[in-house]
Amino acid sequence: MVFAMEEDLQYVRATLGGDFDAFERLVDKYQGKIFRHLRKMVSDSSLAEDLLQDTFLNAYRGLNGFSGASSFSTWLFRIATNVALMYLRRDRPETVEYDDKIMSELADVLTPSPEFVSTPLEVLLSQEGKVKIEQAIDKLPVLYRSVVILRDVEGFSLEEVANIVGASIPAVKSRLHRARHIVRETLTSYYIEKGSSRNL
Amino acid sequence: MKKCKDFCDKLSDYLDKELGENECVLIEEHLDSCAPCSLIFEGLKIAVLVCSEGISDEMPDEVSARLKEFLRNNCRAD
Ligand SMILES: [Zn+2]
Repeated sequence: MVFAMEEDLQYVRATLGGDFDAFERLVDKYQGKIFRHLRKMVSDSSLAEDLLQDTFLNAYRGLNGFSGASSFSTWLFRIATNVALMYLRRDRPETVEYDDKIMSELADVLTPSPEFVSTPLEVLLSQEGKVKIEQAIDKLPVLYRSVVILRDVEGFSLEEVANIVGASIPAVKSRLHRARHIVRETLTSYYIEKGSSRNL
Repeated sequence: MKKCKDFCDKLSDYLDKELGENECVLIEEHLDSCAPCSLIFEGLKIAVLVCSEGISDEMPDEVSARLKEFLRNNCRAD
């Protein structure tokens, strides 16, 4: 991890010194993760591609402002998150605004399910299983979705997630708590249904 | 005496190791003795696990190629 941060810093310095190839190394390294993050935030691959281009262009133009206080990846994900939120607030404000209302309505569902828990990992992670995971995440309001992606998919710490989305750690924890339970509930009902249709 | 929901509300923080030792002990004792909560906890762990493994970061080659071209055209013009 320290090595990766050191390597990123060297690329950043080289880019600032006029070496564009060094910036392309950073692009190679992070484009897949940033594309995944944006694709999940806006639920649309071709829009995510536009936002991906904006993200790296903003990063390039703002590279002088990267202080090295956080890791380069935290800094880059913050740019991507802001680019996506700016787009959503402008073009689909309803997707951002009603988040907390939706979530407080969904917050109390808790189904204990042996069907889900005993499903083998190779089924959960099969082609079909992965589609269900994507759908379960897409069902979440965007602010919750982004927190799950950053924490559980990208593996950022709670503090880093808070830094990236510009929220407090307690707010991140509470979104994460609800979001994870919703994902669990969605997958649980899918595997309960799948189990009962198999037994017919 | 706490209710099951109170325990379930803490499971996400428990997974993130955000709770103090006393709270962890209370949760572990409850999970040992309560089958529904323990199923919910197992489900939560699995949900987190499949999220981390199940969403690909592969991107189409043409998206990457267009990104490079876009950046070459726009960054160098600066
Ligand atoms: Zn219980």
